Amino acid sequence: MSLEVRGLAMQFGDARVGAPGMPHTMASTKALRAPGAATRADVPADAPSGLRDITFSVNGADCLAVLGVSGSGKSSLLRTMAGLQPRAAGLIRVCGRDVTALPPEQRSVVYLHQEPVLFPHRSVIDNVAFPLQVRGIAPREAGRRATEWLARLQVDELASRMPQQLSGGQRHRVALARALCAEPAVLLLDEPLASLDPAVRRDVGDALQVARRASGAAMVLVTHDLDDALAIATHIMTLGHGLQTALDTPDALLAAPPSLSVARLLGIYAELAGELIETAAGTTFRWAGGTVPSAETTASRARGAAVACVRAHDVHLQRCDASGILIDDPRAPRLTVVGRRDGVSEAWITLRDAAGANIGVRTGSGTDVRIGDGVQVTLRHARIFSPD
Amino acid sequence: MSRGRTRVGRGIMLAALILFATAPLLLLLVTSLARGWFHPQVVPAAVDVRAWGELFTDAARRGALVNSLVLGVATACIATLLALPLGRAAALGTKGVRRIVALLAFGAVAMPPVALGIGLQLTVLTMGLGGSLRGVLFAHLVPAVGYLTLVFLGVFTQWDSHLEEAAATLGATGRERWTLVLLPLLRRPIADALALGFLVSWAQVALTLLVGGGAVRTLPLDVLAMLQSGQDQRAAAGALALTIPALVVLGAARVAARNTTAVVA
Amino acid sequence: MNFMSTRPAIVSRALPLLMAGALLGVPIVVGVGYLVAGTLGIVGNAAPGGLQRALTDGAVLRSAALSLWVASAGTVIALLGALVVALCFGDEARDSRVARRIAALPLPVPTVAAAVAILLLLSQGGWLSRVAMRLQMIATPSEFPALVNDPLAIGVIVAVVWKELPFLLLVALSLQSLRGVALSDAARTLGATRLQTLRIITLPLLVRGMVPSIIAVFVFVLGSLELAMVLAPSSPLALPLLIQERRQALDMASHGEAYVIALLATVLALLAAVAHEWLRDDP
Repeated sequence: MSLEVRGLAMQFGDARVGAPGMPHTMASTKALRAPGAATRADVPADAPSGLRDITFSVNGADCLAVLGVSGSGKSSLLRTMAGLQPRAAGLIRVCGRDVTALPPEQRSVVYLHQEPVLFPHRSVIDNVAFPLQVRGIAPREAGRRATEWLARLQVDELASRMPQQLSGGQRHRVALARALCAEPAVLLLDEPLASLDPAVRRDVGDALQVARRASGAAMVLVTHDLDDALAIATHIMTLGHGLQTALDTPDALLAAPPSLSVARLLGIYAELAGELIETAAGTTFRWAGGTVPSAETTASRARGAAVACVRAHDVHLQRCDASGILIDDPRAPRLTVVGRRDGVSEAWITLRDAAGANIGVRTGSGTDVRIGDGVQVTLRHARIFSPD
Repeated sequence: MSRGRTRVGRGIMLAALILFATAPLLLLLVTSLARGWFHPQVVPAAVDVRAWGELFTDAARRGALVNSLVLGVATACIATLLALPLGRAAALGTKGVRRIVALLAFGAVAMPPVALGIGLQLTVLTMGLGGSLRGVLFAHLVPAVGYLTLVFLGVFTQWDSHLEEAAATLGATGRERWTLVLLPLLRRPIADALALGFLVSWAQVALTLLVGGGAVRTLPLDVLAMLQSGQDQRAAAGALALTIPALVVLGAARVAARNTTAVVA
Repeated sequence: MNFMSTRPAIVSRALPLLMAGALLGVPIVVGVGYLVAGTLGIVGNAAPGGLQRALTDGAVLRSAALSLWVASAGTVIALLGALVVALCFGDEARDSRVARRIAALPLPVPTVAAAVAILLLLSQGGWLSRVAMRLQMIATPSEFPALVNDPLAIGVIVAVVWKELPFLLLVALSLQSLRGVALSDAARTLGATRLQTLRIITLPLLVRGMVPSIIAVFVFVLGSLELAMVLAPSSPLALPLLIQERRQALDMASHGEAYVIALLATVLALLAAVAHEWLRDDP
């Protein structure tokens, strides 16, 4: 089973009547406008009105997570792939078959809304058997298969209940069972874990894993939370400014994000502002806390303003000894700790440089520095980018 | 997706809908202005505004119009004043209370006006208001309060009490909460309620006939009388005179609503 | 909602009931009571045995049949029309808004005015008849089919559809906009064709949601005096007119019948009120 998408382009959100399942906090509801519509104060004037040049493929039983900020078009992408929204350009192939011109019911692509949409007038078992019923499969056989899927998702005891009687987690599982009962080649999940309590989240996350293994369908899930993506995805694709900005395995992406916007999207890096300069040793990144040889730079220019992205555990603070002598690198600038705030696994430390400017750094919470200490900062594995 | 075909189909349906909605009203308009419009003329030969003018110049017609206006405005105000606290109290109560109140309210609305009218005749006679404007007002209030209670019940059931709570913790007294928080937010529902209350009385036929006993003339009764005596032009003018304020009143309510910053959750 | 629980419980429970009782209950109870008393012959000088007489009177039964026919046919046609239009416009927000605005037009029109308009349109001396004559489809007015004051009450049904189709349309559109699109999207990607989605998901849910409104329309048409006075036939008389006629008759036996019929109509309406309330989705 596979899904292949090439050069896909679409407009953001048709003016559909009532799109439930969109959390009210999402700015995307305001960003979803057709081009030519009046700009509102909260949408930047140059915000893209659609996506283009989207290209990727997913093998069966693999899972692609699509990561992007609210309004980046993730839902529109899914809906276009499902056939619920027209595409402006590009091609979609499911199992080698070109489905671009086909209506939703013929694509073998199931779309799952963020809030499970169960048919309120049918019982759970009738909901799950629905895809078989519309295919003309006899009721007895349809019921048997539906029960099997309910069992696989561990909700078989709910078979005769009505959707209104189910809890949140149960509804998600039933919706999944129904989707899998349709034996799709592709499963599209729109923010499946958003707005769920942690416990329910784990529950539904487990259900998704079961689904992936049991069905062999290619999964594409959309999320704005990296943890959710990491939990289940075999590949991650990021969207930004109406384009695809990265497509790679999670490990590769985290180790080497291709651009500053992608790094920001991943949300795991601290940013330090500085500049790239030419030294005898080659191009070097210089910031208030010292210099970093820029072998690892992805900056587009060899000189000028730049941003270093570092994980918290790659920021190393070393206290100066009692006589104020720096230990690691005598030439590195000495910074003074002026503030410290501890989180669960990280500490936010405010440093002041010789010029009096404050810099915030994130480091591991085990760091042994106190306010008033003079420190020296070492950065490891810094990714240097040009500012966007 | 055959968008071209569906577009045309929708266009046709839209046009049909427009024709459906406006044709009878247009006919009323033309008839009200047509002098001596006899069969089989499709278009009137002569036009005048005589029937319209009479609404204001003829004593009987003017009286009917005035009665209708007075009854309408009075019903709107009194019914709103009564239904608002009732709807609110019911919404804040238990589910059972809400159900009973909704039932009574809907009953007042659903009861056939003729039956209600016969029943109310006795009440009005006992109160000594038989055949008077006040008696008819009392009769109109029954379905009006019913309708408006349903409206306010709906409004307050979905009400966001957080705003009042915030105001209270900021130090606002009960009265201040009413005047500074509730009433401004209620502008839209109150406007709707006033409009609806007015319309319930304005369009009323059966109750006026039965309780007024023929002594109280309102515009709808006037229209019926004109029709029964074959005066189509006057009947049409009256019918339109009946319709236009209804459209205006609802339109005004919409405008008032749009100007409110309604924050009802 | 819990905010007001600072009041004693008895106030929050008793108060609204008292108010409702005073404002709504009393007139209804008195009204119904009067009807009952009249039926039993206690007041109104009616001769006893009215109930039995009324139920066996052929005229009463024919009137009931006519009124029920009009209410049913009118409601069904209005419902079908509303469904067709709502499903046609339901999924495009812009079209749906336009449809809503147009539908809002007949809503506030008083029933009397609507009845007059339909009369002017459909009667044998009315506008359609004149057009027919101009197009030489008929030679004299009386050749035009009797659409008003006719035994089938076609004129009344047309007026009902004109007034109530827009109302039902608005209800349908608002129901559709709630979650209609999400439901049909889910069904489509699960493999259902447009037609299957309509048949199995959209229509059943829509109609279920509209049941309270349908009941309201039915009850309204059943009891409307204006429609009967302007458009209904003179034989058999529609129920509201029958009640009035009997009430104003000179003999006491007829008075009794009037009370009975009014009472029965009221009971029917109150049953409908119960059904309406019971079937409404409680928030």
